[in-house]
Amino acid sequence: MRKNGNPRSRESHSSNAAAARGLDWFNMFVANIQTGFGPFIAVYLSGQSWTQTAIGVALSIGTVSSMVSQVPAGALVDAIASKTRVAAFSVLVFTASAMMFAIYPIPLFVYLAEILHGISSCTLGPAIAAISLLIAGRFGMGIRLGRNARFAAIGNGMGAALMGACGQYISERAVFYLTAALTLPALLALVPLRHGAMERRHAQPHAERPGRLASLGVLVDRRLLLFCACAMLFTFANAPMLMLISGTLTAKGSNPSLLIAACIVLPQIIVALASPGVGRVAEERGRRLVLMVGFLMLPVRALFLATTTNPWLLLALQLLDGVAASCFGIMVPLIVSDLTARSGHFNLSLGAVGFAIGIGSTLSTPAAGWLADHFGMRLAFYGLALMGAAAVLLVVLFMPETRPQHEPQQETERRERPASTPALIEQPRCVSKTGS
Amino acid sequence: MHHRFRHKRAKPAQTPPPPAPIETSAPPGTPINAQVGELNSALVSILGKRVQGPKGEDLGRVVDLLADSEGRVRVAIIDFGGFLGVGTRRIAVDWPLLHFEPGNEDKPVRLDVNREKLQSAPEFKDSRRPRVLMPPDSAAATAEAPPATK
Repeated sequence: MRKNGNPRSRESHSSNAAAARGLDWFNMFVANIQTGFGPFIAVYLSGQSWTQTAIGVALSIGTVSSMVSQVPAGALVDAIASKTRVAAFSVLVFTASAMMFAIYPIPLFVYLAEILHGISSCTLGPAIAAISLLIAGRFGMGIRLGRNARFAAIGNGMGAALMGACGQYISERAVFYLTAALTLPALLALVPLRHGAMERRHAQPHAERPGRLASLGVLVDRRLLLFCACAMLFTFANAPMLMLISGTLTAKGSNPSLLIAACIVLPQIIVALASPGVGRVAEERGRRLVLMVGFLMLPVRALFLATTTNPWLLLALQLLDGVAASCFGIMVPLIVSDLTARSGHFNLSLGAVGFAIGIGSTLSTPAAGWLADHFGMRLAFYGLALMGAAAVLLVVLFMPETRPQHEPQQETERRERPASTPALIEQPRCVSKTGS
Repeated sequence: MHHRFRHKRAKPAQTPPPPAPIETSAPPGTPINAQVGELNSALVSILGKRVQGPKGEDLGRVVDLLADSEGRVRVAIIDFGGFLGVGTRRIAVDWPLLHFEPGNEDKPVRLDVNREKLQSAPEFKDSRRPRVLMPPDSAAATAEAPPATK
């Protein structure tokens, strides 16, 4: 582990700025790419004369492989020194998967592509979070994650528009060529992250590398487990909502496809607008507040959704989804970094939360679908509201504030630390040891 | 209840139902002496085929075919609507409602039903006895005498 000299030279400052911009672009292109691997795959495969059963198998293989690899992938990212290399490699695997879909959608390749994509998504997410931590440092992390979320949302929205148009006007196969092509600019965006300020700090998250036993200890941290539970409940309540809404729209709307597209893109616009602010609030006022606001959107939205099938109202309620998505998207890596950034097991822990989220989304969609089929849409939304309310309660009653107590340190040269603010909510129970 | 089917042809069952599997006197499970031959008509692949409405509008695509206990294709499942795979809706459509253009492999299947009708049809939920979008006359017929099963 290298410990280089003074990192505050002007050269390093500009390379850090370049790295930050590179990370912005990277977030955007990765989000672009991930749109191609979404539910659109089912549409594409049915067009390739795949049976519904085979498509179900392919999608399940994808889900299972990403669930299974969450935690190991996190541990792997922890163990590899160059997070940039992990990111680049993951993106290259995306290229390969997209090409497999495009060129030869026979079961073997589709299954393989699903597995590869599932695994590399699990290494990519933590790698991005780790790079963010390296660039921004622990105390600039909230701001940085806000920026990440903004650019990812722009990428998501653009990806949906681009790929929707591509599928509509060119061909469904072309969507996957486009996805593969978009991995190139993603790789280019990593170039400024390759060296410079990044490399110098690579050693940092590994400052204390505990043994294997201690790494298990990270995973049984009460706060991390609590947060996993919160994240699982949140996803459980959140994931099926778009599905239920779009089902209603397809049955009722005058131009359902366009309305559904709007329902997908609108929250992304909100995320893009709100995220930097959300990140700042998390730094200034603490994580609990943001978490509570974001989580509160769920039961509110679900209750409203239960009462209306008006397409325009449904669309308007997607604004709340944007707020929730922004808060949640930023809080996941931020709280995990609060809890574990010093332990050298940041990515492992992020993998654990990812696993919890995976469980939530895998269970909830069939559960909500079942409720809707047997007891009607209204009751399904009430059920989701209940889960959302449980998530809020869990946060309010049990989730401690995790914002690290700030002790002025030479943590990072681009400290965007706000003026010190008194803890508004409760005394932070997590007073992380900030020695370095 | 008013039907807004665009039912142009007088003869309803344009597509003759495919023959049921041949009956053999041998006990089931005995292999028969199958031979290779050539069919006298050109065939089209159905799964994944696009479906077009009367005005050429996109009505989704065929994603499954359901047969009755005698092996006759009775229903096509059409996947309809949505954006990038979100919010698609599967609808069971009576097989005779679909029209094929012989000799043109790439031509979508035609379904002479307007979009709103398809939209408001009940969603197909992997049921053995699905509710099916069918021509008005046969809908009336089945309502009187539901076909015996088993």
